Amino acid sequence: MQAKGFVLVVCLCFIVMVSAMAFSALTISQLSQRIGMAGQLQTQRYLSMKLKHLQQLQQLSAKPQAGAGSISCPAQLAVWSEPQLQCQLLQLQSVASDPDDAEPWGTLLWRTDLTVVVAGGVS
Amino acid sequence: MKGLFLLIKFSLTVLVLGVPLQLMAAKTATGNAAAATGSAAPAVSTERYYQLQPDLTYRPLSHPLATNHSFCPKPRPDTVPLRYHDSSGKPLWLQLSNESGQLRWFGDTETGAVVSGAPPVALTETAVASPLLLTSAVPGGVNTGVAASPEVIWHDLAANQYQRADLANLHAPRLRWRWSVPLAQQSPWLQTPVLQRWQNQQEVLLINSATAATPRLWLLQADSGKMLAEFDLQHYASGQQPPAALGALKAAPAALDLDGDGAFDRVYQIDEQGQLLRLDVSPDLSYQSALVADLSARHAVYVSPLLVVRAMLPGNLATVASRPAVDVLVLLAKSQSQYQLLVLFLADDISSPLLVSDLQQADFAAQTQIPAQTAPAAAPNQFMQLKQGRAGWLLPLSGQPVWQPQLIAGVLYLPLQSAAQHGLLCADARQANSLLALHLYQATAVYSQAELDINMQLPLRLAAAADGSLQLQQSKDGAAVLEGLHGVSESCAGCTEKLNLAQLSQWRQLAIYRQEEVY
Repeated sequence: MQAKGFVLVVCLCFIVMVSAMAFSALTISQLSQRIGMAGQLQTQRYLSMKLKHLQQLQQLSAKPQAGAGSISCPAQLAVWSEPQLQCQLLQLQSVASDPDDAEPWGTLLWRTDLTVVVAGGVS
Repeated sequence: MKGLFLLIKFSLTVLVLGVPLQLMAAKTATGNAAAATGSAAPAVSTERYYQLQPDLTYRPLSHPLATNHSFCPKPRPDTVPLRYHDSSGKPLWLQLSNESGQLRWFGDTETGAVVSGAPPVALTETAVASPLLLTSAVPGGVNTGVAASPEVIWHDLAANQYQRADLANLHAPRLRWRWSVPLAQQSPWLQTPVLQRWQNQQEVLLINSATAATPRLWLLQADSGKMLAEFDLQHYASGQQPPAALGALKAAPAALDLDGDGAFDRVYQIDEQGQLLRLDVSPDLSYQSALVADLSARHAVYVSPLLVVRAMLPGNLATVASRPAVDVLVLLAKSQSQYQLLVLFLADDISSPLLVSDLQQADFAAQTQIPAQTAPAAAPNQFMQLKQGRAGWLLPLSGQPVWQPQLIAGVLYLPLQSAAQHGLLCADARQANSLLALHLYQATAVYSQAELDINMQLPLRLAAAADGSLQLQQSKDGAAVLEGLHGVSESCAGCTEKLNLAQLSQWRQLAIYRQEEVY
């Protein structure tokens, strides 16, 4: 009678142990999946922010920006003597609309601005 | 009897024909004299003169002070005409000139002159400098002509002082400030003030002392006329023992902003003999000076304003400097009656001054005929065999330069006037017979000829055609001087390409980066 009880207890313990191992394995796999998804999500947000920033760059007006600082033009091969060619320096920053968004992107731009008159004009 | 009759008839014929011929001859001679001295006649009768009053306002003069009658009666091309609107919205134009230190303006309504308290000092030859024309609202991009409140800074030679005046009301010019040169000049020399930006976006003037005994560079606030700094250029690091004495600084200096912070940090100065100084100026106004070129062996005189730009050297000139970015200086020199154009490529790390022997003679360029848009223009590898860290070329000019050199997309333009027209007063400043157009790095022709035979009236302006191509025009009437301008191309050493406005006015990306938050 005592032997049967011992076997029963051992079986129960074995079942509990196997169940615990199976549960932990399932939990770990679920966690790893979540971790993997988090990485994917971060990449998606990273790319979406970059896409948003590039779209803003494309929408940038071709005209000189008011308030943008005028600088000396960087060294270039086809060089111009001032003041015919002026340059502007602009720092464009995307703004994250959601606090959970990835870090925003920034771009440093410079614009060459040529001073000419339209044909037919008389100064 | 018949002989007597014939004699009387001959005498009458001589009288009848001779008198009108003599009159015509006399008239022609007078006409020639008038033509020869026509430019030397007093300026147009509508010219107004103003004198500075103790309350720092200019009042009209009923009887002008003694003025120099050799002044050009028409606008000189010292400044490009400014189109602006007055307070009522009426469109006006204004052009300035400074001859012998006397500021004169030419506009729609009247011709005016601001005269100093004393007559201009006697000069051995006509002195001309460019006044600085400033406006409070200069349009960017296409010049629509909308500007307001024109102000001018000029050198008053008689009093040897610099002045800034508000010309918004041409009937009552208002003096904003004046600054007297602290050193006495042995020989008067009219100078062109140079406007630059300094720290905190403030505009400053760079002014030379034209005296050999005390070479100085002054830094003035353009807004107030207050002196910010005085640089004593007598002692500089020349690398020579003993250091050579610096001569008179008569050429207007040129400055560069190397780091793009909006303030200049390098100044070039050249003395009359050709010693070229480089000053690296720190934000605290301390500076280091060094002799970077000694061109004095050519016995030429350097009095024309300097032109300096920061440029990237093409690949075939990469041996000139350890880094591709160099300072390119364009100089004009006069040796006796011969003018010369010099272009120097100056690296940042020059160890010893550039000498005349380091320059490549480019006199073949005037005869070279290279069609546009061809590559490479004229065997550039054979042309530029230059020393490490120093380079340049010089070109004897066939005429007199009548306009400052201009760089348009790596092509150097210089209007020239033939020697035949030198004697004509005033024409020397307004007319050019040819236009020199050279590749900046190769000194070769960009168009059909290096020196294009074009008669033009100065000043010139850059204009865009309907298709976006660029052209040089006469400012006066918009007549095209040179159409389809080309620029240096990066595709090969001597290549050029046609310029287009749409390609030039655009945003260019320097860097893209992520803004990471720091906790």
